[in-house]
Amino acid sequence: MNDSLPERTDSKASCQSRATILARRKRFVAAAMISAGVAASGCKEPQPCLDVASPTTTAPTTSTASTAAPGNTAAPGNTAAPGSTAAPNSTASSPDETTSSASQSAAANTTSSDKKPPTTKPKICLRAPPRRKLDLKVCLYPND
Amino acid sequence: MGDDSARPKVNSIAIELTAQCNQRCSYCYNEWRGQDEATPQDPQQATKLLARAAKLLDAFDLDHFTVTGGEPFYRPELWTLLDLLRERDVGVHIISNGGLITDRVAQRLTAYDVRYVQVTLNGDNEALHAEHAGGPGHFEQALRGVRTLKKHGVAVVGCVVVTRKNARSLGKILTLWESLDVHHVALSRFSPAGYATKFLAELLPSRGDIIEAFDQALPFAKDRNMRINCTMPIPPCMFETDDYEPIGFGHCAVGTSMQELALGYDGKLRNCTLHATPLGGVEDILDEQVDLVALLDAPERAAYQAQTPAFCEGCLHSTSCGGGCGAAALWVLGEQSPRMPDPFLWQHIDDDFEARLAADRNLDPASTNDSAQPRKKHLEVLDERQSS
Repeated sequence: MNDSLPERTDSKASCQSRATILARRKRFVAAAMISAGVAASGCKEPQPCLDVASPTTTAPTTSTASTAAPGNTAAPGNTAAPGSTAAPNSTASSPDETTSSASQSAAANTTSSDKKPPTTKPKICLRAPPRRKLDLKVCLYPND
Repeated sequence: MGDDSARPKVNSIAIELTAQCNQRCSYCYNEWRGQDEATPQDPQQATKLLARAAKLLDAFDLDHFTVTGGEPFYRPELWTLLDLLRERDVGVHIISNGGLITDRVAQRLTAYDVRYVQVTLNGDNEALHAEHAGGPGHFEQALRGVRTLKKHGVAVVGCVVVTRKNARSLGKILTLWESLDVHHVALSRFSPAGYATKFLAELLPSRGDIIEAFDQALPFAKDRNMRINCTMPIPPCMFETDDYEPIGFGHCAVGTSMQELALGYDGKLRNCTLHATPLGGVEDILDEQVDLVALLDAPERAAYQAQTPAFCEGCLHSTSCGGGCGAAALWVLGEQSPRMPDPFLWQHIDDDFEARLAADRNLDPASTNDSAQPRKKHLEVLDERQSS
């Protein structure tokens, strides 16, 4: 009756989903272990499941999760999560910042030395760095 | 009104005004669904409701109430509650199926600080919506309700509960919202809880379903000025949500300042609408012995974020994500220690759970597995991979 019902017997898709999830999880575990790459990343904000922001508030802002690109000196503190207009910690001066020295140095390594450091304090949040930066996993999992 | 500085800030409280509803949605997360007709209505219900609301307003510095149900427009005390909230200068969100909204109702709403009425459409046509809403007729009623609200200038937020049945139709449903001049839509990824647990196999979308749905939603957010929020958590290991900017994503707010507590029509205060356990074991917050501020430190709330599923141990996101929707995990996978991850994630990791879903869907379990090997629990799989 319902022509929109997806087919669900594709074992290949099922296996791919599992492999992708496990691979991403592995990256996150590795990133947590080395505490690297988080300094210049964005994060999601807590959001009640029934709650969307009021239609009268401003449109969602763009996350700067990808500002870890080398040489990019755009303010990494501007990490307001999209859609989370009511989030209490969506500004760079949020009191929940807990910058570690390891993550600060990681952030410094991702910017060119001949450019000024960002004037705003990077916000620490729990987002993994881009995949290409995780070559370090070779050291963590030599048998992979 | 109490002194704001003396009252702890609580973002919001979802108040379940009534168990009565004119729809029979299969995705309904209310634990008590179906009990309302069997139980005689408490004649003191309206009085108690207002007394509970007043007690909450006295105890907390609230941004808003989310009025839900059942269907809140069923109950005349809705208006008394709105009077109270207007008097106390607290905002209101209303969650409705739209079916009972008339010109008179919409006109009356304009007198209050109703930030929006959220109406759900789960299909772009009668048949698909009826499959979710429990029968025919609701689709046209919902459309009429939305148009009436718009006509009277009441802000409307659209909602789509994204399920296994409608994920591939999301683009069409968003087109329908657009045609109704509604440009802010909440995508509520189906999360099995309460009554909906019965429909787990039928409705639980896979990762692939949700990716397909968001692929269809992205152009609306990017190019068509539609504001879209995903209102259920997506564990970061599932896929990269940043690929879908500017669609907004969040994570579970339980235990944070953004939490929306839920007050049941029976007087229980819970972590959210999906959770069944009352905070502090309190059966009715009207009990004069109950200190609402102290309930914020109840172990059900305070310790929630400290629990992490075994699957999530060591993950960079474990604290914020917590394995997705913990309430759905409780409903579907049972109370375990440590708690289990969100069934949305777990269906792709645990062979036994995957087989259970396949069996419920009358599929051959072997067809969803990549080998004829005996099925293993996820941690066994992980242990094997790490030791190899």
